[in-house]
Amino acid sequence: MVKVFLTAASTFKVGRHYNMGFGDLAAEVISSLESSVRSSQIDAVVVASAYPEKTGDQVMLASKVVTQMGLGDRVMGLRTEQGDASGLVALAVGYSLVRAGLANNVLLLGMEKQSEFPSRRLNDIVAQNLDEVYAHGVGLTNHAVAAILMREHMKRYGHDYEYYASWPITMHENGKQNPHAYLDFKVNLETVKSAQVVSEPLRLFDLAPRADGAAAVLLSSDEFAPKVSDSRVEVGPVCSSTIRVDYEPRLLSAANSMRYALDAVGLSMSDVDLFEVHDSYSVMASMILEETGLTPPGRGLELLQHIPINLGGGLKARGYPGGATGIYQLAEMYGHLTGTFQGRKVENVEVGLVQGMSDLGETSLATVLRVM
Amino acid sequence: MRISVSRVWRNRHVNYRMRAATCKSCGSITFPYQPVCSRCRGRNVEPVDLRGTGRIVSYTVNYQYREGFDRQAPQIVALVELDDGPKVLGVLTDVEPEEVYEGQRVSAVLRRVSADSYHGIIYYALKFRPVRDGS
Ligand SMILES: [Zn+2]
Repeated sequence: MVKVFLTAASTFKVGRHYNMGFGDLAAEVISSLESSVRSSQIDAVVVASAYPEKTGDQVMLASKVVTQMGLGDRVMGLRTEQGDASGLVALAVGYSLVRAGLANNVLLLGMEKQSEFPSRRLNDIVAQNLDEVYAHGVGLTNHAVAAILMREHMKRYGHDYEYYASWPITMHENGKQNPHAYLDFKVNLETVKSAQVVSEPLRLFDLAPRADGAAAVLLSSDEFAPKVSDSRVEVGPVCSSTIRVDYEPRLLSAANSMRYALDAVGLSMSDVDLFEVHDSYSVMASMILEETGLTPPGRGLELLQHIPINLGGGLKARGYPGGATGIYQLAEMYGHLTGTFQGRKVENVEVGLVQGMSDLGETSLATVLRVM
Repeated sequence: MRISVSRVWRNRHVNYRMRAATCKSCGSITFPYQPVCSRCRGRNVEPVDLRGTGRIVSYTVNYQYREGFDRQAPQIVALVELDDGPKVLGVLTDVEPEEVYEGQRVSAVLRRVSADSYHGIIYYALKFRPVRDGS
C-alpha cells in the first residue's frame, strides 16, 4: 500500500492583508514552494476555504489557482468546505488520492479572507456554521454559543475566570517567537482579565482572532517523496468524528477523532511529543486537552505545564485563518518534525498529533505526523 | 434580497410552532425537527410542537452582534431546558440583562427578528420571554 509523506510546507503571516486577494495569497505561498512544486509535478490541488462566496464573491477557487499559477491543464482542482475544519478535510482528500495511487503529489492550499468587512458582517458570515433552520435565523452568534459553553464548563468544574487566562498568556508567549503570527506580543493576566467583554464571560483574549491567511503543504507518495525532500514525515490516516453540539462542556468529537487517529497508527496519547489543537476559544482548548485523558476532568489547561502544545501560538496568537487553519497546523507541525520551524522549538519531536475542527467542535479531525 | 420567501415558508413549523421530532423508540425529543432521532439515530420519529416553556440553565449577554441585529444589542442568549425535555439555545426578549437569572422560568413567543427593508419581507421567529406573575 502506498504511504503518504509531507514533503514541503509554506505559511504566510496571518493578518489584515487588504492589498491581497485570493490570487495574491495563493501566489505568495506557492511561490515559496516553487522548486518543490516544479520538481514534483503535482497531480491535484485541494483548496481549503470556508467563506470565499461571502467574503470574495468567488467560487471555483481551485480552478482559479490552477490557471493563475500556471500549474498545467492536467492538474485537478478541488475545494473542501466544512467551516473551519476545511483544512484537515483537504488533508483527508489529498491523503486519499495519494494512498489510493490516484495521485503522486497533491498540493493542499488553505486560503481565507476575513478582514474584508467589519466584525458585525464577519459575525454574520461565520454564523453560517450554525443550523440555518433555527439558530442562524434567530440571530445567534458563534461567540454567544461559546460563551454558554464556557459558563457551563465553569459551573461544572468550579473554575473562576483566571483558570482560562493561562491559555492566551501561553499562546501569546509562543506567538511572539513565531514570525508568521498575527498577534506577536505578550500579554499578562491583568490585560487578559480587564479586556473587553465580548459575550459574558467571554472576553477578547478568550477567542481566536479571525484574519486573512494562506498556507500550503505538499503530499507525496513514498515513491516520489525522496525526489522532493530529504525529510521523512509520514502522514497517518485522517480520522474524523461529527457530533451534534449539545451544550455539554465536553468535546466528544475531538476525543473520538484523536483516539481514532492514534489507534490507526498503533500509538497512544502518551506517545505524543507535541500537540497542535484547534483553540478557537480558550474553553475549547481546555475541553480538547481534557479529552486526551492526560489531565483530570475539567483541568485541560494544566497540560500546558507538562507537554508542548501549539508552539506557534495556536489560533489565539498565530491567528485564526478560518478554513485555512488546518493547513497552518500541518505546516507548523512539519516544521517541528524537520527542525525547520521558525519560532519556539522543542528537542526530539518525533510524533505530532494535529487536531482541527469547526469553530464550535461539531466536527473534528485528527492525524498523526511521524518522523520515519 | 437578504431573506428568501420560500425559506421562511419552509421553516415555518420550526420557527412559528417550535416543531421538534419525538422518537417513538427511545422517547428523546430533537429540536429543531429532523427526520432522525439525535440520541438513538432511529428513523421512527414523529413531528411534535413543543410547548415552549422551560427554565434558564445558563445565559450570556452578547455585545458582538451580527449585521441586521443591531437594534437588539446587547443580545441576551440563554440555554433553556424545556419542560418537554430538550435543551435549546434561544434569544431572550422583553427583559433587561440585570433581571435575568439562572432557574428563571421562560416561555417562547413569536417576535420580529429581522427584515428585508427593500422588499418588505419580515422574518419572524421564536424568542423566550421571562414568565412573570400574571403573564
Ligand atoms: Zn431515539
